[in-house]
Amino acid sequence: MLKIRNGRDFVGGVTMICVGLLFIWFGRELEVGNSFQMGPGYFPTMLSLLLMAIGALIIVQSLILHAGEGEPETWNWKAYILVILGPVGFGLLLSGLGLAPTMLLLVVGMATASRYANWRHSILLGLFLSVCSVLLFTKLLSLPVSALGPWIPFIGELF
Amino acid sequence: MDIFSNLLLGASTAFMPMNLFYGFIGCLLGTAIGVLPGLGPTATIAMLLPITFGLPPESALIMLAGIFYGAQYGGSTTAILINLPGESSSVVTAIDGYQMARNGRAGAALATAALGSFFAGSVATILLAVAAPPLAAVALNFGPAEYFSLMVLGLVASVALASGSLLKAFAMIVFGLILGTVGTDVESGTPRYVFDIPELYDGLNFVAVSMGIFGICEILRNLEGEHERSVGVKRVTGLMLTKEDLKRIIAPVLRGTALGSFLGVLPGGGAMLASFASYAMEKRISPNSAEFGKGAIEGVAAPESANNAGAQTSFIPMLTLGIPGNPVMALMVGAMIIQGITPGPNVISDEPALFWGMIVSMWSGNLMLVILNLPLIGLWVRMLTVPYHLLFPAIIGFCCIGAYSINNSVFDVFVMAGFSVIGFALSKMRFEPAPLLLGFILGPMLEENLRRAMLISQGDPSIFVRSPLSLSLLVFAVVVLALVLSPSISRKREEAFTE
Amino acid sequence: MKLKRFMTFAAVTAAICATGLQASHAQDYPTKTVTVVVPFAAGGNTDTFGRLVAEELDKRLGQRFIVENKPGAGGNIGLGDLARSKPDGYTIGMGTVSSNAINQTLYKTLPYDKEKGFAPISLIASLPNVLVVNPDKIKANNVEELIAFLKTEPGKHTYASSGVGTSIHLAGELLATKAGIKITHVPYKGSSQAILDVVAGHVDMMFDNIPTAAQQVKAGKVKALAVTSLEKAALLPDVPTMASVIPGFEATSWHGLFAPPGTPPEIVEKLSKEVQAIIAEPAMQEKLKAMGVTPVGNTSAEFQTFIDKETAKWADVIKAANVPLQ
Repeated sequence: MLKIRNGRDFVGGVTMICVGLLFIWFGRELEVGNSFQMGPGYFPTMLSLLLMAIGALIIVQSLILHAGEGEPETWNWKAYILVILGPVGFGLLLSGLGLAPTMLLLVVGMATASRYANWRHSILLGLFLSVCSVLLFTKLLSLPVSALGPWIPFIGELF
Repeated sequence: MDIFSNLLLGASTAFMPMNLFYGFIGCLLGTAIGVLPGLGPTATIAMLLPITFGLPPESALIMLAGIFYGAQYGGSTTAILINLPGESSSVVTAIDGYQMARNGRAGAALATAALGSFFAGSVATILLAVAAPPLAAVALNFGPAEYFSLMVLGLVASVALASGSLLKAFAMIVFGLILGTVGTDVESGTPRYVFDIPELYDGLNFVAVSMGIFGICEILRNLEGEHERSVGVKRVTGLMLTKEDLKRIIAPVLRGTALGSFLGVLPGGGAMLASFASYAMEKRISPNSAEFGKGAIEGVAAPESANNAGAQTSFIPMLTLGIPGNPVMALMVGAMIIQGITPGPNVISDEPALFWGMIVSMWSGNLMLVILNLPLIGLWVRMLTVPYHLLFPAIIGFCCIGAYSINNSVFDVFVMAGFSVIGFALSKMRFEPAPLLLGFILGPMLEENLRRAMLISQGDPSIFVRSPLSLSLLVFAVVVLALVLSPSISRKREEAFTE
Repeated sequence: MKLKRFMTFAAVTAAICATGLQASHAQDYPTKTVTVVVPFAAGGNTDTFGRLVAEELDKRLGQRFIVENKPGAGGNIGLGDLARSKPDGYTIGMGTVSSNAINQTLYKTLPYDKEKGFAPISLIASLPNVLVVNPDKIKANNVEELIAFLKTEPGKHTYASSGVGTSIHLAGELLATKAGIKITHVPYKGSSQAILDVVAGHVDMMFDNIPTAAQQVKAGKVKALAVTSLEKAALLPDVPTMASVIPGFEATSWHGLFAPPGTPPEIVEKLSKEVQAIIAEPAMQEKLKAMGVTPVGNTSAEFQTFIDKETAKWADVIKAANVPLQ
């Protein structure tokens, strides 16, 4: 009777197999061709199969070898969600709000992911960084992004 | 051809006060912009290109070259300090450099990078001065078949980047290779995995992927352990190198310089290969190989010197043939054309002052970079003492702008966010990100050259063994693979038997 | 109460917008900064032409003309942005033979309305391509000899290009269909790797943009057989035209200025006049000619006719050569 001796690797192997399947599925309409006349689907398909094979080997290994000693896992879901959604929010708001308010919101929002943060520091840091980034990117490097976007009425129009 | 009179001519151009000044400004700006996360040499040069338009040709090119070195050095700085490689060649610097920084040795790592780069840059510049045309001829021997074999060798070597399970490193390389196929297929023009998103037609952007998978992911890991271990770094011990350090880095710097100087000449991604080929080599032959991945100083010295030597010699195809070997060189060519100089094989004879001036300025640029950066190390290291809850929102903020600046589009910001999730999931399963990124970089080149070679040979695979150069690279790859596999297989077998 | 306040606010905003629109009348135009979208990366040809013209427009019209690079998907991303921007003359953009004549056929879907297209302002410059061969691989001194040589060994010889569907690739396809020969297409990412492999002899020949190729020809690395413009090129005065062998053979890489569809014709007209005047200036003529470029400058209507002709021509080539659509 086989027993999973290394749960993390077992999941890892399964994930690799899933990734391989996913790429084969989404690439199913690509022409594969053969080794002498490779089509656009040849490389991705072969690699996906290879990845699945490696995934299978990782699973086999996880059934034989014990997991080594590792640090215990800790999870911090609040931080994950904030830090991952931060850039997404940045991307969504940038064109509308402009660089300065977006940066301020991002920094203040991000800082709450840390347990040591306090509002006064975060807001000061946010203001400092928005001013810096506007000076550096909008003014100095003339990145095509305005300091204040069209969603900010009246003032935004001027920029 | 009298090399000394040429160098003298070059020196008279490069050491003109005005050119020295622009070279210095270039290094300064390059470093300043390059240390911002996500802004590597290509982005930095593209942004700063317009300010050189008003300058005379020599000054403009000297300044651009300065920006290039500066940005490259700045990229290594972020790799070491916050685990954020700003360009492909500093991926490997991040592995041990960041660990050194965590061990409180950020100063030593940065000093190693600066000194190693300076030494490598000086040697490569001399090489450039004496042997540019013959080296360019060597580069021409590399056709699609030879590049394919070289990429295979590079992939095999990249397995050595993993410090954990070999099997998992293989999985990451293959995953990276698959990610590299996203975008328009070069040979047939067929879009692959683009889901009708126009931004994906050019593939996933390296910088966005790397910022997500390295930089943001690192922040996630630091935040989750925030309450138990002190986040960030141990006490900073000593900014400069000790005698012991110096002794340890001499050989790796020399080997890295040699490898980088040679591979840098190859226009199809040679310089990229140089940094991690040298890392892989050091890991094999270093007496301290057990330390690799945990903050070995050799792991910073070798790739940084290889990287900088390669950066220097990557000018060779452009200067001798007029053909840019990488995006940075393409921008330089663009700048030359705007200045009214069309680069070509005759640039050496038509514009000797420009050619030799640039070569000498490469050396002076490297010197300025060291003078500029050694004092700055203290400043950078002090940055790490900023409380983490203030540092990480700033890093994320700059990452977002950096990702935006790649194509002036928010799409790359979303790519970065997406890859921070992927990278985080992978790290939870103890997969390492470095082999994935290398697969991602090498994948497109591997596939393109494989299929191009087959196209040229009309479907005859013997093209890979007919060329002696390609054959020897392949044989070498097999040997390296055997070397990499043998200890690990026997070790695994022992473990299995003891079960 | 809240709603009422919002209504007042909306009315005021609308009024401001309306005055803004009025201010965009042709005689006052431009009253604020104009953005010039370049749908390719900084440092390339299109970027260079865009910057040269923007700088002069800046001087002549007294407002800033800022170049904004929006590269990606063969120019489609930048042009999609241009199409979506307000058609008030404050966002204009560069376009090329690829982005505005070839992509219409090559791409199944475009991020903008193919039918509406753009309001053409003026053609700026056109770059001839030159057919270069590796002298060791192809024993031919002119196009007739080349065709005869290729006919003896059909499918055995290769030509490089900067990618599927680029003007460089399609010039090769045009040659193959017009001369009735079989040659293998070897695409690269960008023309520099491609010309390098022709110089080295890994690939036999290619059509390449003239400025870079001319340097290789002058250094004797490759042999130039013909240029693809209807007139001989200034950078290579001894090289005959393709059209002298294959009548009507023309494949140039052109670059022009566009406005979003629906831009007031007066503004397009005003910009067109300015651009034509800029290109007619002797200093600009000299600058462009030194780069191996033929300066053009024409009216909006002339430019539109030209684009229609080009679009039809390349659509035929793409169909005849069976280039897969993207």
